[in-house]
Amino acid sequence: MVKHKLKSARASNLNDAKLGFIPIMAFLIIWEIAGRSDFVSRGLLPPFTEILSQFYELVKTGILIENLGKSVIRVLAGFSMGALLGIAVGTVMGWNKYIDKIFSPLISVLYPIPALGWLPILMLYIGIGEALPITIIFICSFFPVCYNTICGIKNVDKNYIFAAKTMGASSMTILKTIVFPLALPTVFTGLRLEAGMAWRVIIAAEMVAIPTGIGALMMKAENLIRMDIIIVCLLVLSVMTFMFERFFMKLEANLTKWK
Amino acid sequence: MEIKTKNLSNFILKNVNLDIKDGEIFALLGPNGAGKTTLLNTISGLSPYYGNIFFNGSSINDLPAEKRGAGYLFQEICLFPHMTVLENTAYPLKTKMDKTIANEKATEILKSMNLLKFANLYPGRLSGGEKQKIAIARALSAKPRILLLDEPFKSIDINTAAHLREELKNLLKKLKVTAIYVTHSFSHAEEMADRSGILIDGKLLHTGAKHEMFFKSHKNEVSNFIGSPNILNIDSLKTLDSGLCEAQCGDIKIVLPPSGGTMGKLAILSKDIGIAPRNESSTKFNQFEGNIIDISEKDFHFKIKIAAGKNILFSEISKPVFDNFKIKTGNKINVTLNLNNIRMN
Repeated sequence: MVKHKLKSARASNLNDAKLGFIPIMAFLIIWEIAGRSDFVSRGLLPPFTEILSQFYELVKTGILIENLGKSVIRVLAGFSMGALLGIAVGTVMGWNKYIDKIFSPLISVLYPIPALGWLPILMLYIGIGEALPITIIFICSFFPVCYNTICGIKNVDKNYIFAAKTMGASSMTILKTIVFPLALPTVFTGLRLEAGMAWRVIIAAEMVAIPTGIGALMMKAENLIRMDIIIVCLLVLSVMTFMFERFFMKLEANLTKWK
Repeated sequence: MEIKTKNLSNFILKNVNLDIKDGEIFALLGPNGAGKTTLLNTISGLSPYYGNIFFNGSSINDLPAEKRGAGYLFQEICLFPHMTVLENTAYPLKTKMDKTIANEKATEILKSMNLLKFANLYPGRLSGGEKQKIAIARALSAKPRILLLDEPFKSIDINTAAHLREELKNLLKKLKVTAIYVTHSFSHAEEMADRSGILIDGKLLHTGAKHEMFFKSHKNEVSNFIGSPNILNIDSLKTLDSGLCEAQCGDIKIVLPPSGGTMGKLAILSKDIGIAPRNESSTKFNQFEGNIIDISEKDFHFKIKIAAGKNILFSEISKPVFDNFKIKTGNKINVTLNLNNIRMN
């Protein structure tokens, strides 16, 4: 009975996946037909098959791998530092009301500034180099993750804390074993959102100020009016954002099995 | 563990002096907002206070909540949702001993309470009754010095709650744990406790044996809370063939559960006296004829004064019931006493 239910659940998931595949296929077919028709110039809308062959070309020559690699390293470095520090600072602020009172106004003032808004200041302070995009991504990740962590820690039901206290747990043990694990779903909401945002920000930063990376490759393609390369870059960006978000979804599912 | 509070006061409590003996289950009754939960929080160290609390004669005023050794069952079932049943049960033990030993002990406790089958499940997969049973196992696992129970079965269905109350009482008596049981229900208090107290507006206005409150004259706020019971003097008592007792109280005969000792008085709350328009003479036991001699209305309830022979009884009925019966002063009615709601002293 249980096996049968599992089988039918799996079959239903497969059917859902197939259903989602249909509009994508339809979109690609329409794209291909439109690209090959005389209604639109090929330079403005190359057919999908040409995009695939350009993708192969860019991979074969190493141009895509080199630029993508740079963007990935920048995102990973900036995001991991920003997220880890955001979680640490958010945990301390959410748990200790005095520290929260001291630093909360500062966070509230800095949090609304868009990450790209820091770009002119950072270009003057640290110049155009590898540190610049990493710092931008750090800023982009730190504030939202910190804010979400503070909310997650503060919103843990006080009764769980009281219950743990009466069971003899110290303040640090309660934070480690009760409060932080229960705040994880909220922390992960911030991480998932910012994982996507980090990619959007790095592309913008590379387009404006950095000569390497996927964003810079798009800018070079724009100068050469190479729509096929721009579309390849956009598709790669879409896949990377999707993979980053899926990674955090999987990680969350593993760490919050109880949900 | 003996518990004693002396002049316990804070933002709600006003000079609460309470003595609870070792191994005793003490029921704390009172209306909403009386300070019952605050008293439990104060004893457990979760709320600040003035005054003194003693465990076995030693002051615990300087001990923080985590060192008082008080187990606590909250109104809401507070099992940690991110931990399995085994991890939940082992949690208080892990604060005192090695993790492996704590898990072994927790497994033993779950086994002894027939809960081992749930060990690897998360609380979200369990029913309310199962969750609260595990919360009891967790609260008792670390052998608390006292157990504070704040209406622990409020969110559970009536039948499961009755079963859990019985199981909890047996466990507490077996393990000789001193406990304070907060409840709104007189019957639950009588079922669970050795003694009870009434807390109103932060003041402890009565303590005594479990039925005692119904036979004592009280200050206005206490009698308002209890509901002014009808007190009947027993003139004579005989045992029936069925094993039940029959008490002669003035002109009425009342059948009672078997009683080992002698009894002098009966108490019946006015809300436990049922009335109905008299159609024919009744042959059921604990049902007799009465005459309505007065009707008064208070807070959407009607207080009916009834003469049954020379006895005067008061019954309390709600407005819809009163409107349905269309009774008036001078009417003859049937009066019914529920066997389970008669308190004996």
